[in-house]
Amino acid sequence: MKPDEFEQQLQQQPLRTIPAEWRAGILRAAHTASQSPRVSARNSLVTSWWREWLWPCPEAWAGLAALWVVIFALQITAPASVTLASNRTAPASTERIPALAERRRELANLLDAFYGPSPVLRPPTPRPRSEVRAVTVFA
Amino acid sequence: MLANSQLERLYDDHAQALFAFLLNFTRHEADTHDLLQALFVKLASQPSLLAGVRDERAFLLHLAHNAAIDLIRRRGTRERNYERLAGETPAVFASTSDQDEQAFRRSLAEALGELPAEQRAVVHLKLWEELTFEEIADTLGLSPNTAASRYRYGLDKLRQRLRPLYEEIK
Repeated sequence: MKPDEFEQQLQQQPLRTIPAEWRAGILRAAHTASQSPRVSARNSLVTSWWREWLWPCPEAWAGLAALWVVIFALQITAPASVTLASNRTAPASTERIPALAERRRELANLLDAFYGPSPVLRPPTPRPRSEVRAVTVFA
Repeated sequence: MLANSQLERLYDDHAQALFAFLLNFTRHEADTHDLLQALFVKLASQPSLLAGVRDERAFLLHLAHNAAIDLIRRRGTRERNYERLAGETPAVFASTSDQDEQAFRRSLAEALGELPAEQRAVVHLKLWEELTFEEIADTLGLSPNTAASRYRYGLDKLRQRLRPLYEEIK
C-alpha cells in the first residue's frame, strides 16, 4: 500500500529526540542490575525450571489437573458419605425396635393359634429333698 | 550478564525509537523514562532475552509495548483513563521556528492523543517506524488485519481532524 500525500506529510514530521541526560542514568541503572547476578541467577533458575517442567510438557499439566480433580472429588464425597451413613443407621435402629416387638407378638399369636395357648408358667414345685441337695452340692 | 558495551550499543541503536514510541503511547514523559529504564534493566539482568532474536528493534518495541500496557493496567482504577493523560499533549514532535509547521505538529500531537492508545500505537509504528502490517502485528500481538484496520481508522480520524491545517500548509 503506497502512502498518500497526507501520510507522507505526517511521516515527515520529525519526532522529538530522547533527552541526552537520560543515557547515563538508564545505563547506570542497567549496569547496577547486571552487577547483582545472584538474584537474577536464582530468578532465571526458578523460571527455567518452571518452564522446563511445565510449559513444554502437557503431561505435567494434565497430571496436575487430574490430581486437583481427585483431591476435589475426595473432599466433596468424603463428608457426604459419612453423613449419609449416619443418617441411614440412626432412624433404622429406632424404628426397628417396635417393629421387632410387633413381629414377635404376631409370631406368638400365630403359634398360639396353631399349637394352642402356651402353657402358663407355674411356680416351681418343690422337689424331693434328695434332688435339692444334689443340685446344691454340684453347684 | 550483558556487557556494558553491549548495553550501550543497544541504547544507542534503539533508545530513540523506543522513547518516541513510548512517549506517543503513554503521553507521559516520566512514565516513558521509567519504562525505558525498566526495559534496559531487564535486558541487563536477563541477557538470554535477546538470544535468537532476529529483529532487535521489533523485539524491543514489543517489550516496550507490553511494559506500557502493564503499567496502564496496574494503574487501573487509580488513573483509570490513560486517554485523560493523552489530553495533556506532551511534546511528541521536535519543535521548529516555522509557526505554521509548529501549529501543525502541535495539532498532530493533540490529534494523536485523541486516538485510542492501541490505534495510536499502530499509527506510530506504521508512520514513524515504517513497519509493515505483518511486523506491526508481530510487535503488538495482533493479526495483520486488525493492525491494518486500526491504522485505517486512526488515519481517517487524523485526516478529519487535521484537514483544515493540512490544506493550509500544503
